[in-house]
Amino acid sequence: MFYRLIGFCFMLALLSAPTYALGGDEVPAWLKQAAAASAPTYKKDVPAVVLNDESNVIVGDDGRITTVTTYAVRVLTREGRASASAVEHYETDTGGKVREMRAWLIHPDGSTKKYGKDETIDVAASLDDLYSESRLKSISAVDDAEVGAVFGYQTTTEDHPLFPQTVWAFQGRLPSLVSRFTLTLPAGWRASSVTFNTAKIEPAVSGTSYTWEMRNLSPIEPEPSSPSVLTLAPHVAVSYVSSVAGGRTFDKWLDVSRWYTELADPQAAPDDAIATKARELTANAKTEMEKIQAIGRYVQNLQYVSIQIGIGGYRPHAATSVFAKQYGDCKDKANLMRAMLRAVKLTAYPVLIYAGDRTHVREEWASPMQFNHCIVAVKVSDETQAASVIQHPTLGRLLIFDATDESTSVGDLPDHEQGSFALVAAGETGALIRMPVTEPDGNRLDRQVEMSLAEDGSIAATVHERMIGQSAANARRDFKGLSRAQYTKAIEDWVSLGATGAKFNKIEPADSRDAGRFALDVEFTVDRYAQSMQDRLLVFKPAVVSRGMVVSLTEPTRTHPVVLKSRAYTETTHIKLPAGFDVDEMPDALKLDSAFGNYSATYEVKDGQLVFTRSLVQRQATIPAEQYDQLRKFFGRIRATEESPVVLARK
Amino acid sequence: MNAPRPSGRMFLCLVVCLLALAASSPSAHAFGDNWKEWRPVDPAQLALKEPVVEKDADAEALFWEVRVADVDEGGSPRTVLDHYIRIKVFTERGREAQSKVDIFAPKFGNREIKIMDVAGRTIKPDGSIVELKKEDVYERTVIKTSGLKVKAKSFALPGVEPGSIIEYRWREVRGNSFSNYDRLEFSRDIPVQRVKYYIKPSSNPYLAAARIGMRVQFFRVEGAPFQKEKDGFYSVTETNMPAYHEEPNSPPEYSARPWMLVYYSEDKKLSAQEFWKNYGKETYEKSKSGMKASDDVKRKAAEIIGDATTPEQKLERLFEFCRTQIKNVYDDANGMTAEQRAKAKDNKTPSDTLKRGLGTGYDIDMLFAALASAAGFESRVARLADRSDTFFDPDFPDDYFIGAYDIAVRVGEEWRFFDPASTYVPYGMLRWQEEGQSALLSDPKEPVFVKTPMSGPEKSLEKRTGKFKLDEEGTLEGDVHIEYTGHLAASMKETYDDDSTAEREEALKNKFKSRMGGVEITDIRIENVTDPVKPFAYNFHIRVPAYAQRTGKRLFLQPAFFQHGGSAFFTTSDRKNAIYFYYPWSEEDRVEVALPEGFSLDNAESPAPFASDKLSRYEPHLLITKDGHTLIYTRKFFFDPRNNGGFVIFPTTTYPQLKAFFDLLHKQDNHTVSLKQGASAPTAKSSTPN
Repeated sequence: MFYRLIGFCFMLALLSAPTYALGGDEVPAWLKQAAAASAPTYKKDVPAVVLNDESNVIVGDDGRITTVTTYAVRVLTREGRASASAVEHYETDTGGKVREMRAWLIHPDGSTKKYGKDETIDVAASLDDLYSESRLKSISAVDDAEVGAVFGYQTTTEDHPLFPQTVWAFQGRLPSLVSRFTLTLPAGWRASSVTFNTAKIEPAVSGTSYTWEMRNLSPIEPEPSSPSVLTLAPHVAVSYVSSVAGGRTFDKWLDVSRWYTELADPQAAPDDAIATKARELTANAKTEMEKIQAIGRYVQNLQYVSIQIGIGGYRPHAATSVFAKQYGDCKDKANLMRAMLRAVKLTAYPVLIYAGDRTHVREEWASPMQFNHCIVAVKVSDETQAASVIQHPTLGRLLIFDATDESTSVGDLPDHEQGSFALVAAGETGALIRMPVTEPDGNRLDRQVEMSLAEDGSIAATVHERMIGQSAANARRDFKGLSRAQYTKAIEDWVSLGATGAKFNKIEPADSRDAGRFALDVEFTVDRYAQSMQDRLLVFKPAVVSRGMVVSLTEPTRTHPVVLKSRAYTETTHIKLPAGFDVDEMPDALKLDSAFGNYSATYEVKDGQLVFTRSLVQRQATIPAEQYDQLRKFFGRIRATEESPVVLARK
Repeated sequence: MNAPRPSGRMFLCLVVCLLALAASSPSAHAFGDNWKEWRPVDPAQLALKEPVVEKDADAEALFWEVRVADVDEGGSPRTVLDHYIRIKVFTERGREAQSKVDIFAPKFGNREIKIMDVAGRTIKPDGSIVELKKEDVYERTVIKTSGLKVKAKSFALPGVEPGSIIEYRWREVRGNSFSNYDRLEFSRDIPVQRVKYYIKPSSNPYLAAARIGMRVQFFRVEGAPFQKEKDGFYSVTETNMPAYHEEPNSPPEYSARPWMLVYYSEDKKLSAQEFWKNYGKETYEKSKSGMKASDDVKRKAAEIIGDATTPEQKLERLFEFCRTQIKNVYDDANGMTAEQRAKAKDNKTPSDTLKRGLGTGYDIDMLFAALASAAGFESRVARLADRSDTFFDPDFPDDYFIGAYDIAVRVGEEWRFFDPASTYVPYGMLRWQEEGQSALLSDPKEPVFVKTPMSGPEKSLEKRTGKFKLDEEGTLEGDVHIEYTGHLAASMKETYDDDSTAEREEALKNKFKSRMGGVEITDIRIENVTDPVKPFAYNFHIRVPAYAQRTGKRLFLQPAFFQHGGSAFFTTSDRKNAIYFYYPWSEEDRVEVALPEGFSLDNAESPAPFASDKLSRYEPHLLITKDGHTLIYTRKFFFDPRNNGGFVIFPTTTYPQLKAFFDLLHKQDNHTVSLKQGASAPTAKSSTPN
């Protein structure tokens, strides 16, 4: 992934942050002043408050930047001690370095401690990458800080960024009293900015210095199923350029498309070995889709290994090298796939996207820094029909495919990418476009349960699950990510939640990735599943296994929107009732239709069998917090219905 | 709790290094470079379709060899380890897990590990070979800070696919040390067909002169005899080693997987019995002065004891004084910052500890011993192992495993054990890790092993009460009190003492949220979290919508509120490891539910009690008040693994019975009663509540 892109920088910006000259090791005046500030009273679970968060970036004529950061935070609770740390990110490959890092802790009694070189830790930013030149320097005062303490630090960093762009997040999850970003440009340069998640902030301009500032920001509390903090925090995205010398700029998305095309295209040239392999893979393919599937499957199966050197955070390794080593990261895989497709006369383009949050990329700011992932768009003819095909205004029909996600088939797209903005890097014809959203029905789980209930309450049951789309992809992810023993355990745990003491006769998964399907058959028996009451009543829940598609909304109130995925689910359970018993009571049927989705549950007795059905269609949506109460009631009613028992009485 | 003090073993380590340093001289390595050649690949290995050692394994090591040589020629003393492993990959999962390799090399002070001569290759299913190129082995600094630097060499084997064989080798040089008290494992995260260690002890003449030699002790494996090899090496081979699997309630890792301990020690020609006798005497001599009662200690002892008359009363007062009034410098919840800890002065005597009111775990224990001595008790230092690491075997004549200290005090004919340094462990108990262990009682003449007692289930009690109202929609609402004693309380306090109030409350809420949909918890009070003496306690108000399920004319209620929504103790049908219960425990619940107006019990019956001899008993009772309006459910449960032949481990073969037992418990806890609207007088057992 493009680890060094906006997500990472943004996160660091959230952690870090203000500038003043400093002499000696005494607590500097700016920190003393910040520590004297009084903050509003927050809810008791707010761990800390940022007193001052300021960054001053000075751009040199050659584009090199020097950044002086000052930051002060007051610890409000014991868990808030975690905030008492300084972190700076730097890239060794672009000449990045942390020239100075000093910190101070002011205890509540006024005594102080200073931190310097001996307390500084320098670590690789990612241990997952096989190699990366992205590093972090940090100082931690977590063990020394107590409630009421103020921690502050000052850093000076140098870098030569790849782009004349930057992002300033005014806050992370913590509340902030003052957040200020100043950009000082050489004479003749200019800057422009776009504001996100708050009203437009105009910079105060003094000569060639631009200053953006916000004050008294409330905390951003974590909530389940909410957009990421990156998407909620107010921030400005800033671009700057020399009016005299020019230089690379990204005024519009087309500029980003041109830049990335220049960078990536030369890497996608196939050699004979690649061409031979591509032809071999597609030798039996009868259709365009079969060719794409054959090559997509091959590339998906390559091992994911990330090596980031120099501009390697953006530029893919040559397709020939990736093919020879049989491993690569997202852009390597997308690039190799392009090369192989080219060998069989199909055209494909790299697509830059943000993985993990479909609401993250904003069209108002053209910048490669908005992305952290690379997928591929394959130009297809009308004969190819798939849920992940979109119509591009100039390129025509494009099939979008993520060659890194080993669980998602050709024709489908991972949940977190659906509906996101992404850049199709196709030179002069590239554009930022919205990714496709698959219908709930295309991500369906169908479950058939056959259950035989005996007079003593024991059951013998078979569960057949058939999944497609992202339901299948999720099931496949579990299946592939776990050893066989771990997978068996996971299925046993799941069934045992509703059926304690289940004894398993069969757990049989079947994966058809090419067809985008996954199946699971489970057979089990349970003693005393139904509870016998004085040998007269038998009480049991007809929903023997949990739905597995649960949205957990436990809090009574909500601040942020709720992100829902596109899903559908159906279940039919046939329960053979014991002779000598009649149904005495059944839950009422339920039918719910709402903007979030539709749900129904029915119960019917027929030919000595109880037939229980339930179905849910959940649409992809971001539900505003104002509708939270309705949403919570929707899922609450579903849960209550599915917990309801059936009562049998002896005839 | 007690941090180990310099021991004989550590002193010996120092001696080994110093002697080795003294003898180092420049000369060539004593072993060759044969390991640098790839071995031929057997076509049968290439054709292998399924794992041999363990069914369903994603990859299997065909062989794994390590040559361990303690060398002091050609520079400073060092251990050179040449690693060579060949792995057959069966699945994509096996490829993902095995073909990306990170080899770490830390440098700490003057101790440095260097990694060199990394080589690797992939033999594809068709027999073609793809070499790992030198430029594809990346070196990076993972972490760098004052006094510590960790580098890593990382590579991904090229062209790996299911069916491939991958192999790689590297040399690891551990500077300024010998292989002393190293744990060498015979199992990995994947099964191993054959693992072979070649070991070459130091030939340092000074070590030989001091009669210090390398020794090996096997654990969890028979240990095949060592074979003499070329160049001064000895080898040991084990075959068909299953992968080590982590499972809940497993014995500690080093009591579950096969390994050997390699160490140097002086050959005193002593039996284990003789070794411990000497060791016990030495411990006595070393600790004697440290527990001496000075005048101020004597005065304090008299003051603490006050009007106590029995030995029990006296010891309890002394114990509680040390536990509650002397701050343990290493207790993370004692309110000290790292800075203050670093500045804390060393205590040289119990008198210093008393004066400062602060000390290490060892200081606090020694103060207790001194106070007890001042009160006329005979006190000794007892050394024992920590059974969260391994299970101690006195037949192994070395002090490596007995790092912990307790204080033994003679009361009549009995030795009683105390550890006041463990702040949250009550009087009469030790940390669970030290209970039921063989403790070496130091003595000037006849040191002996004495088994420390294991506290009964009544000492570690989870007691829960709830008083609720149920409405006709099934919503349950009321007040809850939960308290923990003994090991349960110590564990809760250790878990939460360093957390904020908000974190503790969040953890409590999460505990219930995961089991009860839509639950709301308010008015939370969490008591005695850092109190050494009082039980850890929760008090809160709870509201659970749809707790009882409503049908047309009935409500179904699970009286066992505290078990509602919980999962069974054991869920999987298969088990690899033995089952380990850390200590006995018990539970007591009382749940009162005021029934909704117009509802009464419909043919309700109490869940059935059951027991498993003295190992466990489950006693639920369901009562209804005479007016028929309030349901009272009580539940008592204990599990006492002491009655499993005195041991807390159950062999894997007993898993089906244990699982069936806990499944039955879960089933009984999920028992529901039916409430019917407009039903006549209750037909269930009636009784007046206690």
